[in-house]
Amino acid sequence: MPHLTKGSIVGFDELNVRAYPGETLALKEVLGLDRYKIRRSNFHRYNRILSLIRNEKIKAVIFDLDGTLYDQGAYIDQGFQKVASKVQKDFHLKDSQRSAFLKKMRDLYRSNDRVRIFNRALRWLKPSMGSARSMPMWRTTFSIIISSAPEDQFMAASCGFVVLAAPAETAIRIGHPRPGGGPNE
Amino acid sequence: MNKLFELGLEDTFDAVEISGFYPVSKAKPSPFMFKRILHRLHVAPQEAMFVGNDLLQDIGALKAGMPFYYLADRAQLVALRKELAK
Repeated sequence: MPHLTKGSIVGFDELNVRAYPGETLALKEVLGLDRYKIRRSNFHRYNRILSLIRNEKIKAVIFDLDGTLYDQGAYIDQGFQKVASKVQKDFHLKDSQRSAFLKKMRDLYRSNDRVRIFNRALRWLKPSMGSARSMPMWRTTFSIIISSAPEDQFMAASCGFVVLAAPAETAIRIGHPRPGGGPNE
Repeated sequence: MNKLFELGLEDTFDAVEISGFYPVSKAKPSPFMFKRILHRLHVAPQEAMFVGNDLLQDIGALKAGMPFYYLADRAQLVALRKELAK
């Protein structure tokens, strides 16, 4: 640890994991288990643990929120699953089509090009859905909004979208397809 | 703020700044928001540290003069190593 300055934060992803004892042994041998304060992150599925080493010079620790203090991927995925269920119900998708649509949204999210994920996933899905006769709403434009930000919700409402309330833990809002096109296309 | 309430962290922090409430020019990765929260906390950049998981967005902390601690998962570390090896 010669390159760590006072006040350093060290993150461990496999501390106290029985199957991978290496990190725990290394911590025990190099730093010791009784000299530093070890804090477990309750908000990350990877069992991430932060070790805060005190330093009088550091007066403030500033945290990013999304993906740092909680698992943003899981949070977003809840929204994707709600959207996939909604689209499956409205357009009578088979389970395999729902799965493919869900996978497409996840792939777009992971690609880091996250602009208009829902519109792009729906556009990708459209050719696989067969005859437009059974899906007359495909002639309209879709805009699905997922946001907990008040300004997004206000924008959706002011543009004429019907904003549906969904379980609070996902903070998801789904805008209905609007005949004549929406502002998101 | 909704997320902080959902996580039970609404009373944990002395100050909260939300990047999305700022115009694009002042949102992350601009150092504006980082400098603003330092000002609100009455601390100098060298007296603070920033912990984040997004190199592109959180790099504003470095621009504001704070040490930046990158919290990466395995995939991000692999990507970073590849990038550094170029």
